[in-house]
Amino acid sequence: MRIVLVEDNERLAKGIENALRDQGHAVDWIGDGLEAKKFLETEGADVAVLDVNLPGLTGFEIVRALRKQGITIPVILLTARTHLDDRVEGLDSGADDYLVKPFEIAELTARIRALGRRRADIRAGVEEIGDLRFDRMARTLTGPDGLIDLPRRELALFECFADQLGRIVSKDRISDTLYGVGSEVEPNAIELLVSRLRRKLAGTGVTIRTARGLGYLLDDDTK
Amino acid sequence: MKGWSLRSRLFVLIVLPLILVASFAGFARYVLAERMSQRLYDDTLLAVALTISRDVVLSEGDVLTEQLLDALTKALGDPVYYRIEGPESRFVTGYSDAPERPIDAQVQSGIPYFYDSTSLGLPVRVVTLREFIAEPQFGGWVTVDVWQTVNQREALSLELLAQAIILMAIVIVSAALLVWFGINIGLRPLLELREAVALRSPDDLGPIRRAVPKEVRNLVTAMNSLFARLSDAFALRDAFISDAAHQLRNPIAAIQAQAEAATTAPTEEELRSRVAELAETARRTGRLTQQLLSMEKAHGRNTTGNWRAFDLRDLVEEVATSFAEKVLRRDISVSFQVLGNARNIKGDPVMIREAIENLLDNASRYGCPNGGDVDLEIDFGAQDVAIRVTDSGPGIPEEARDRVFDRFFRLNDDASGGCGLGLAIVRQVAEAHGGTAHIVALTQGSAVEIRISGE
Repeated sequence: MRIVLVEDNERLAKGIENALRDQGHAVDWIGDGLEAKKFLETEGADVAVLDVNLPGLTGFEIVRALRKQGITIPVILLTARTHLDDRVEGLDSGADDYLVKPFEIAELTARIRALGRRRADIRAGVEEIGDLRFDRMARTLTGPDGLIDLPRRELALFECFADQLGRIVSKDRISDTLYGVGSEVEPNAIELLVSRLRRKLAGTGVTIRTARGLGYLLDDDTK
Repeated sequence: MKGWSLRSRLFVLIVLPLILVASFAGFARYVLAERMSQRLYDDTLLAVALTISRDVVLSEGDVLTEQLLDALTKALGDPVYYRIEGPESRFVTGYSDAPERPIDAQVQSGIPYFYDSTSLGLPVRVVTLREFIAEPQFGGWVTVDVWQTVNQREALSLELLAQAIILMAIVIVSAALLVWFGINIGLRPLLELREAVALRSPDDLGPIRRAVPKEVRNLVTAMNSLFARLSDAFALRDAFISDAAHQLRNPIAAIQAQAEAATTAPTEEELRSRVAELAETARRTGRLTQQLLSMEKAHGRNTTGNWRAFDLRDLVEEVATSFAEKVLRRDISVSFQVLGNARNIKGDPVMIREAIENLLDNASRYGCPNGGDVDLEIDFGAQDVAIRVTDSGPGIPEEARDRVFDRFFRLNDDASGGCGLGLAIVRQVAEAHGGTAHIVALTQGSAVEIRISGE
């Protein structure tokens, strides 16, 4: 993948750049906000990693400017730990993901992979998660033993999880996605649906994990 | 008026009311004095009137002599005129152009009647007498009018007014001068105090001991208490910096040693493993500095300046969610529960988040290094809110339950990569919010609870 890294701390940038190169990505490193905006507008990128505090323009401003022009490059923001509102502002500005400094390089590369894959998969129309192949257009999910027979609701639930791979999805969100916003659904109904889907996904390299009181998370065990 | 100097404040507060009082007193003095002088003048006029009426009777209606009139005018300062009427307003003697009497005038016998009028275009003061004279020539009731121009009276009035004004001005000016310069003398202890504080060196935070007036004693006490707190805070900070430097020295020395060892690695495989160790040490050092920074921040933010009302439930849920995303695949199960009615609380959300993250981090690091359960609970009570993190780990020995909140205290020098600051930060945040942090006794595992005011 071609990754644009915008970070004004040269040593940190160097470390990230090396780690990404080792994984076979091409990296353009830019240390200035204005320059980065121009570069992304003209050259584009598969994924952009933006620091928030930059000379010239902030990371937020760059994302906002790009989104305004309809440029949909996936963006990961690197925000400072202490600025609580950064997280909210980051996602509001149109960034796809954020990481709080200090982070582990492995975490960053995993997020980049996820973003890049989603982009590639959306283009191809078929996503690979664990040992599963998910075709959003044909509405089919294929496991190692062939097509998995899923009713419409369970497939929608899987899609909801796949959209947030590795992220907690709350019951409210599931209910909103499956039954429409504001619909009154018994929590039991969702639990039942999840446990049915979980059973059908056994042995496919993906697991639905439960965090009681928070929600569920689809985990790709092969990664 | 808040930014005014004390001197201007006192000056205005004293002199402005003084001007009012002096003006009132001056005016009152003028009015009283003028009334008295009027009465004296009227008495004189009455005396003249009586004299004239007797004289006219004695001379049997003759005109007064010029000499007498001259003498009267000279003595009184204003010319005197008169007119005498017999019964049925018959003119007897005197001047014909008598001033007009008020229509409602009721002149009774024996009681002099005074009034103001005009004669020949000049303001005059008139007295009218009514007497019964038994002389056959007059044949009964006689009316005597005597009048006089009022130049002398007005001159006296003006003089009285001028005197009042001058007196008033003297009082005000001298009071103003006294106040203006007296204040300086009165404020001298304050100025001396200011000088004494200004002359202090930054290291001198001892209490001020000089004798000060009663009114500023409270201020000095407050300042002394501030000095004492500052002094404590500085001592604490110094201790912290020295602690921090010591704590950082070890991992940095380790990084140096590991990096040097890497340069002399005999094989590529060995090099990789040494660099991996180096990376781990660097990561721990990074965490340590991060924690030191949080600690420092929790301390520095020990004010309500960053406080606002926020949704505690939302915040904790968000922290729990990102924690769960991180640890779920490490065989740690996470649960989140809200007891009571969730409501907004007042506080510093950044520091509360920091504290909860530290609690969760501790629970997963020490409580479940090889998997287990981490439960996060918010309990909205009537008065306060408890945030509780429970893990299924080995628990904390009873004798260490208080010391785990000390800075740089670690239960055992394990390989978990902790730096002994997590719970110290938690306690600091709790205390900054007027609350407490403590270990809850459990038969299995351990639970740490923060209790803060629920308002």
